[in-house]
Amino acid sequence: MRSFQDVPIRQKLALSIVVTTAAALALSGIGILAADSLLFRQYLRSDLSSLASIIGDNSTAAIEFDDPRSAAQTLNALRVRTHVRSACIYRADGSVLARYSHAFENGSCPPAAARDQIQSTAAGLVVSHPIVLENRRIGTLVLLYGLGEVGARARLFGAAIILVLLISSVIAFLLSSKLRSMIVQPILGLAHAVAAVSKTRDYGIRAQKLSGDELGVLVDAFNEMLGIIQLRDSDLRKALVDREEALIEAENSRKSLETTLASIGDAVIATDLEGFVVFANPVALALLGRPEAEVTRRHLDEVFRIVNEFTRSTVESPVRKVLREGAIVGLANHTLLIAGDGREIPIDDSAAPIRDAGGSIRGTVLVFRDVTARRRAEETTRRLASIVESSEDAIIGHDLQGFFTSWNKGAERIFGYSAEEIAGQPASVIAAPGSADEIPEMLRRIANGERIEPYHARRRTRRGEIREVSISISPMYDELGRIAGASKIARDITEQVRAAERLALANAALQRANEKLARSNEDLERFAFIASHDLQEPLRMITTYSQLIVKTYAGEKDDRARKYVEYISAGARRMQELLADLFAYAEIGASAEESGSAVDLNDILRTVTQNLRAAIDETATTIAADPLPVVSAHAGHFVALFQNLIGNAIKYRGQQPPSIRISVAERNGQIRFSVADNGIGIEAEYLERIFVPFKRLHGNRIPGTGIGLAICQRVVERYGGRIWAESEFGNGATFIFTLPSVARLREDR
Amino acid sequence: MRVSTQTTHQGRRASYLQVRRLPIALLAGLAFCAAGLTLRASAPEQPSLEYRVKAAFLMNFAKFVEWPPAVFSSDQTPLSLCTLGADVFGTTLEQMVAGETANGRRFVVQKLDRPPAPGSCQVLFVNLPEKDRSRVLAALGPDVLTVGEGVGFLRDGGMIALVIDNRRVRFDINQTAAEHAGLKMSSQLLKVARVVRK
Repeated sequence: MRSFQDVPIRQKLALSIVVTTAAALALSGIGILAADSLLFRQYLRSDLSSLASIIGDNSTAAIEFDDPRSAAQTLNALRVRTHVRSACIYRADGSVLARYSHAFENGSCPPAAARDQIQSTAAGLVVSHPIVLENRRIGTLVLLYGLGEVGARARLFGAAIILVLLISSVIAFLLSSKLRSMIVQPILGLAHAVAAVSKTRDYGIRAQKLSGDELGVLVDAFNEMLGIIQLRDSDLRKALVDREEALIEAENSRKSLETTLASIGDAVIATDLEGFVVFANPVALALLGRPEAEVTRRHLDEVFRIVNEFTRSTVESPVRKVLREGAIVGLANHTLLIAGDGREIPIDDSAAPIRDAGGSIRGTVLVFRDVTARRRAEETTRRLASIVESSEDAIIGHDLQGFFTSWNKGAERIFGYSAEEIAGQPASVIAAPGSADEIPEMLRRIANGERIEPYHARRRTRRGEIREVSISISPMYDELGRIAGASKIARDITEQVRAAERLALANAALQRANEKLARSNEDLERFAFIASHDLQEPLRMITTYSQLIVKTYAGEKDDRARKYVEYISAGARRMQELLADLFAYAEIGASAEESGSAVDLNDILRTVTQNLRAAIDETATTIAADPLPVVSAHAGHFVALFQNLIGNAIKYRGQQPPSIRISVAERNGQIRFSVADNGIGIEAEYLERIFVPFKRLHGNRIPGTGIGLAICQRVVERYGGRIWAESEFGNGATFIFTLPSVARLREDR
Repeated sequence: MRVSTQTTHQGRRASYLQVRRLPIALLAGLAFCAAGLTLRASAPEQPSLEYRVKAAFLMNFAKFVEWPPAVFSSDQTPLSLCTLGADVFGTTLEQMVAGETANGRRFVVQKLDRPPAPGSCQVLFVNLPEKDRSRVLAALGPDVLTVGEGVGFLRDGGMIALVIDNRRVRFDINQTAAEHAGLKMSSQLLKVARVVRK
């Protein structure tokens, strides 16, 4: 909702006029109403008093002569006063002489008031008036006056006032429209003029003067103000245009100068006559290593400290010299600028005076440049040249046609030609006879921008020797970045090539020997397998017939023959055992390719204990074992392994009953088993040899085929492990073997 | 003081009362009043209730009649209330007028045997036989209000005749006679009168 502030003046005026009129009228109406109400009441009181007096006076005779009829007639005169609801005349003793009541009223008498007065009651005004004759009170008149008249009168007045209010408000509104337009019209005109001026910026607009009152004066003042503004505006515009042009010109020249100074690669510093810096371009600031704020308006000596590169003595500022001599000066060589951040920069510089139109010096301009890069380039060039010169390798330049362009000392040494001899010669001079000259092809590829991997080639020296060289070839660029030739580095690798050839020959011989060995080994194994298998048959025959002989000639007392035959039997039996073991040994190798199944080593240990039950019981052997893992293997292999190890522990026992401890540990990706006993042990010198087949330490004193530990070793190695023994002679032995952890199938139970 | 006021009041009120109401008023008066009334009630001249009312009327007529000013020598001159003929009021009149005024004048009661001299009575109660009445009345001078009993009194030239109407004391007026005598009767009096002859 709009606030009253924003309501147009036209409506404000109308509203104020109407509201003022209405308020004034309403106030006066209320005043009149209040006054009338008050006055009317007063009037009513006096009126009623006088009415009571008249009635009372007219009733004296009726009272004195005690005539109720006459008194009633007198009271009936009240009929014209419709608001008198009832009236009574009381005798002096309080009894009622006569009574009167208005139509529709009941006939009851208004109660006589205690005192003679006019009392307001709910029913109305009760007027109690004494009736006096000859100064004596002879009775009382009591009137009940209904106040309906007061309310009716107030309503009538109120209605009249509201009507007057409405009519006068309408009239005020109608009248005000004319008045409003007299005030609003000029203001609107002025407002339109202001709006037009602020919209168009045309200060030539004038507001129309419609009246000679204050609004007219306002319009005049406004127009006058516009005139002044118009004048000042045009002045301002002109000034602005001039200023803008001047600014643009200055900006252009400043920009071009700034661009010039910023784009030249040299540092430029301008100073005034006292040597204070007035300008420094970005290159100068970069070289001085200071922000602009620390340079401008400082003295040049503060920011431009230069020393001699070798003596490190301060060099006189060229600006001083220029100011002193009034001529252009250059800087001595080997000048170092000490920058604000402590860097030392070799510079070249020169300084010149700035002269004004009259030719007198106004300041100086100092131009200097960082010569670090140039110095570095020179140094690099020198260093590269010395590298090239001192290199063991031949460093050779070709142009794209294949003619030599450079030739270092290394090249002279390798190929025998001096730089002078080779200059201008084609590359084919050093090509080896019989091998195609690859250089033109390489140059073609280089020219196409291809990258070429180092390669081998053969070259011929001046003396006609053939040299093996390793060649790296890369493009050389001219100053425009185009490929102008190729640079080759050739290393003499003749000796290495020869050595490699010899090595290859030796390797081939070794390979052949190896193959032969493998073949013979394989034959041997096959032989052992066949032999152990096929030798069983004749052996069985020997055994069978030896036993036949013993049986057949059992009765004959030829002790010697019997003894010999027994030897043959024993030998054959031993031979059988040997062959069985040999067969087992060979079989481990033969079944190498088959994959195993899950084998629980605890079960294996139980099987072995069962197999050895007789020996264990006989010798009272105790076996303690850690829980053993499950591995992927052939059960038979591990039965052989454990049976041999435990059998040996029982077999080579000491004085005490054998005690065998089997433990398992896992570390470094290997499961490590150890089988420790308390037997006689093994002398250190034999610890290696016990695993060789048929190596027996104790001769025939202890029975055995001498192949058990060989079987053990073969089993362990078959599964990728290792086996060895640790012992101190007389203090038992420990056999240790490992298996890769990958063989394990699951955790211990 | 209080007692005497009440006594006066009681006496005056009794005079206003209708005949039929009188016993009630009397009882009330007896209840309120002291020995004075009792003494008066026991006096040998005590008239009947009717005459006591008539005595009050007699006094009240004076209050509603205007005499020519020349009748009274001064403002203080009392108004003379006279009876002619046989005395019917006893001491009632004297008692009644005590303290009373008419137009500010006190009353004087005179009991006469023969017609009064001119100017000596303002109100004359005529209680004469009918044969004498007209002659006496005709012989009276002006300025005398004549009051008598019975309708015939007016015929005989009297001005106010006290009558008994419906057991109440009322009166008729011969206004012409009064006007001839130079007396102005209050309109109120005329209004209260039973019959007014012009």
